[in-house]
Amino acid sequence: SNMELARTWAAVPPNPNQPAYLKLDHEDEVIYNAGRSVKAGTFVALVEQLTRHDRLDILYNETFLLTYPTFTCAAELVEHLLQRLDLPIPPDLNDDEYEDWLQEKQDPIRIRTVNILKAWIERYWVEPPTEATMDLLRYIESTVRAAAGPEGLPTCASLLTIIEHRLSGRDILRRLVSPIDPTIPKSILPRNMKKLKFQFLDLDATEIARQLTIIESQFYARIKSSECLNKDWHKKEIHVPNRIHNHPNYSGVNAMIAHSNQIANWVAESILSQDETKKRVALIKHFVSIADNCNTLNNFATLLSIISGLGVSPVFRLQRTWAQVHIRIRTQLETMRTMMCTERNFTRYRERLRIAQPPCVPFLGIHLTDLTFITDGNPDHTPASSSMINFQKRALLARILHEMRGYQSMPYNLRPVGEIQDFLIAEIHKAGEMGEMGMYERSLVVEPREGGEDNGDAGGQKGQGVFAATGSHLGSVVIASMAMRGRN
Amino acid sequence: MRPQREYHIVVLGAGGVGKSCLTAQFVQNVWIESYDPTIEDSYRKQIEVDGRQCILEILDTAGTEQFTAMRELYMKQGQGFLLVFSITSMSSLNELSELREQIIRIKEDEKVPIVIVGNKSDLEEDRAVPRARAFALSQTWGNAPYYETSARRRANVNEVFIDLCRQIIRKDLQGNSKSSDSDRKRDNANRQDRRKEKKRQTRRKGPCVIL
Repeated sequence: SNMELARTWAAVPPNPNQPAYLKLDHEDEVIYNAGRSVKAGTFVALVEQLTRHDRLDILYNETFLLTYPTFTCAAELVEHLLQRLDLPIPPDLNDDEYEDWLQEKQDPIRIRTVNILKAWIERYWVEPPTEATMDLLRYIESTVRAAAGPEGLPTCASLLTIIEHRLSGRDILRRLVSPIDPTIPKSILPRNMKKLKFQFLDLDATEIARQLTIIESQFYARIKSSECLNKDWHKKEIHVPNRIHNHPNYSGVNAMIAHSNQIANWVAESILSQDETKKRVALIKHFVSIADNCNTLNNFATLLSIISGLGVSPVFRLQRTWAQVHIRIRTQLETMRTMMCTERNFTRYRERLRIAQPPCVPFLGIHLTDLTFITDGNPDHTPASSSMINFQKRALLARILHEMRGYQSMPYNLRPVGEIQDFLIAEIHKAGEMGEMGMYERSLVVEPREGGEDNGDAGGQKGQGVFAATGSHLGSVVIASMAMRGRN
Repeated sequence: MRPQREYHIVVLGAGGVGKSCLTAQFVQNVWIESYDPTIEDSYRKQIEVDGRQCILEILDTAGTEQFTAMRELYMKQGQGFLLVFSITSMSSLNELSELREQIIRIKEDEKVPIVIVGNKSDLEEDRAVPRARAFALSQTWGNAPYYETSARRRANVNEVFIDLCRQIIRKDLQGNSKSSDSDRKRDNANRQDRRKEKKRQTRRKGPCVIL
């Protein structure tokens, strides 16, 4: 693969017989790992590595382009890159050496620089569409045009085209449109589809899981790598409840978090709003089945939201309801809970995701925790000299971002059913109205507290202890819960 | 090999209070050039508390504070809780009360081991929470220990984890000496796990007596 190739390239040792004018200019400002990959360096040295004439390290380049906002800004990077188009000529070269330098060093560096600019602007561009950004693009355009001269540089034309596209504000992301695939599974539609009025329980769990997966994968695809750097997702508050889709105030990350919370609320409220035990049991069964289908589809995001909803105290405590849920269903749920359990750093889930055949929708929370700990657990600069950028840290960040991009680029081979999606989105949006206080009150109405009574091994989940033990706290608990809701 | 006990600690607090710095500082005691939090043992650490070897498994979901629906799921798995705020933010202290209430409700235990941590003590000039204020809160919470830490300067970092671990051990010993009455109060869903846990504990207890 490309990555393997990149590693092999990186492992090529430097040639000791190389004339000085063909060596790197900032080799002494960089520290390598044992495998010759870059561990740390000054900014100038890192840009040199990005555009070096003697070898190409694809992994290094991707790391740089994915993470540059953590150590520089676009304007500074442009400035340094453009300088690479016109290196100062080394002193005291004879004509042959000059020709050699031009062919072996300056020309390859120009080509590399153009290619890096192209890759950056086409695939890794995270700059906001401001006037300053547009000016920067125009500056690149004119400088590259001038440097290329009348005969041009290879791939220079395509760089200029990409810049034109960016300037015109067109979306140049090559969207992966899945071709019409004969293996696409046939939708499972309810009989009363034409009337456009269906009951949740009438819809097939497999089909619901498919539609929820399409919706979830769209949320996941919206996340930009720039949001995931510098813990940026903390800086944008969620303040538009009940309006999830494509709201401009939401970053991709926050929209996905809001969606997750909303699904959990939807699951809990749907169950709690039923008066009859039989109906609650039927709903639990349906939700477990939907979650199980999400598991089959590798949609771990929706799966976890659903099992969170089934696990909140107001639902968890409904022991008479749970007692009537078939053991097979409860086992199914328990298996999923175990898979998503936090133990040993989510080791079971991480393994499940690792071996899963994409497409997948991973649980975003783990990416965010990993990114937070890489950001906070590793210094930005090497301790010896504060001018050296700790590139190893960026490699760790890039690995997560690369993985996310991989999942984002694999679309599901599923047929969207607009009517079912609209129905589900409307249902999900309705949730949250009950509020946590409402959920507790409702839970107590549905199954009143039975102070201290012990039903032994009835087989259900005993929850009344929760309230028996802290009954006196209930008031403050509820108020606290409300306050928490308000924040979101 | 000396016997080892394993304890589960959950680190909670608002975003931006430096939870992850605290945890990261604790788990990597020697300066490691590269800390990779994606591997299985990233949040495990062996420490000695009062002559006992313990393994702490730390659950710190920093970065996911806004996944409110999942918080209960995380809390269920903890035996002790570090409640972290930043001394530079009063609102971060206020948020702890809500978290504590939720923990008590989920753990069905008013005496659940808790340590209150005022982080960023190196930013004294930006202090917004008077020490007395945090201390008063800790007193209303059944004298929960209060520490001020600086993850950046590595001040008091080990101490908070050791204190919490000591509380869990004490509780563990008390719990084992009491009747199984409290066990019956627990929900059936976790009963099997707990049985396994108990079995493990009994197994561990054997050699411990010799200690």
